[in-house]
Amino acid sequence: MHLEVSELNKHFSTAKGKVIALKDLNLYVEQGEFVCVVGASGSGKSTLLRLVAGLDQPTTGTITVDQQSVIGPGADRGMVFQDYTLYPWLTVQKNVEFGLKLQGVSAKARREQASYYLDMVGLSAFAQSLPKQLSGGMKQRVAIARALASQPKILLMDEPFGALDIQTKETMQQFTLDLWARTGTSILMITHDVREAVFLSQRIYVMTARPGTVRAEIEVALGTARTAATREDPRFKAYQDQVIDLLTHSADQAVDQALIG
Amino acid sequence: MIELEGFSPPLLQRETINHKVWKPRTFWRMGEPIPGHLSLGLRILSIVVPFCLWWALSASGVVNPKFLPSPVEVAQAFGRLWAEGYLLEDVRASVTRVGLGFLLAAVLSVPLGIGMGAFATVRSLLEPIMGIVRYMPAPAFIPLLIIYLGLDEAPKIALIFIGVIFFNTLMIMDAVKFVPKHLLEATYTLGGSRRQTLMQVITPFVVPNILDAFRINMASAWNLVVVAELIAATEGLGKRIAIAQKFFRTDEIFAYLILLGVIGFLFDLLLRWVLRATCKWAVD
Repeated sequence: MHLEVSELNKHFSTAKGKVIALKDLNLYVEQGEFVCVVGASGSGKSTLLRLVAGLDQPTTGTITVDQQSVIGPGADRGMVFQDYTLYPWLTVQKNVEFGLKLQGVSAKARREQASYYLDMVGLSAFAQSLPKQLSGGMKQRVAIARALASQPKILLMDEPFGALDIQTKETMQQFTLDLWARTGTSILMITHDVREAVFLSQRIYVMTARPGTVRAEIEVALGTARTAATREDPRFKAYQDQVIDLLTHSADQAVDQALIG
Repeated sequence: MIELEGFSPPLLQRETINHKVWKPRTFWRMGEPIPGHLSLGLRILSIVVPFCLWWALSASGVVNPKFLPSPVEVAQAFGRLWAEGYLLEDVRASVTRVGLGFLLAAVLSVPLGIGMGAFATVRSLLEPIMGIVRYMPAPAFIPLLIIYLGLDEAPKIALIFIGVIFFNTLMIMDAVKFVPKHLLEATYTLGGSRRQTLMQVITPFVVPNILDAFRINMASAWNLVVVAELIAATEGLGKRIAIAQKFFRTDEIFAYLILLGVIGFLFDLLLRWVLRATCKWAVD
């Protein structure tokens, strides 16, 4: 798998005129990488992920997965949204099976596949529960299992833990890292949480706002086996400061530009 | 007290502010459920009190019994109509009309409403005309319906159909608008086609709203069947009421009014039961 985003531009026309959401944006994700895009709200990072998912069309520029141009949404790019997008009328098991059902997989095969991924996210005991009976973190685990059940080439995550409390959030981060290590899935995640990005990523793209573009690319050399102790590592703090510095600096610049403009 | 140099805020004396504490109440708590036994008791009162008032008023002799029959007289009228075979015949006639008219409207309004809710194109095409037609009172169509369809069952069923379909459709359309956008997008990213999204995501999502719309619009169907029967019919609950008026049989009118209420209520219970049985996810 190789995801390549090149010279991506996205304009929106609003009542107040044209808004440039993304400008000349470039990034890539290699097979098996965990990449985070960090940016303040309004930096266009969610727009970027929607374009990669194929939910919106770029104004100019290209997005390719294995040299194939992205022309629309598809199960080769699994997506996990911030708000819980489980089907409320389906059991957890049926939710995880749903994508396979849409793709025409036989009932027996999709049952087995779903059970495998439910086991992987540790929710086999809740297979027959309805989504409303689950906690927020559990719902996101189901959503992840549902996306993974289609064995996507890359998993796209749009602030998946943004609605969770801090303890659940850190548990989910560890869980996602472990899952990533076990499945070897490539992951592209959007977040505004710098600690989250440093803890999870091999590489971080720092995005600036107005217009949204990549300001810096940072390799996070903290190894792949990360635990709670990683957060105490002085290098962790250094990476965190570096990203925060880039974000703050760009925010100042944006304010300056707004004042001048 | 915060003291800031050169700044004295216009503070009120604490004693002048009313710090009243409101005791929590069971009976008058807003937006909260009440204990089961209290609820049941009030529900029983809801039926028993009006019934007792009616009984007391008719027994007191204040009102001429010609105008206000006693519960006993109404029960007797009920028994008489049953024994003479009118009652069952009337119920059958009215229920059939309501059933057919409503079923036709339901079968059409579900795909129409879902289509209008899901596709802005369909909505733009149909919403303006429906917005106008639905404000034409259905009974105003009766003369036309009689001219077009004669005096048999067809115009009555058509009247109910007209009276129900627009509201049903627009209510279902509104429900579809509330399907979360991310739920649809999640489906696309799982490889769902538009058709699959429409049939397997949007439709099941709005089933509870469809049943609710049916419950609400069932009441209009009952309204209209009585209106239709008052004008042209040989049997039916509304027809029998019209006949009873000619003979000044207020006891029979009372009996049929109560019957109309009970049948409507039973339909409502049935639809609620269907909702609970088929959409466990949507009821607590």
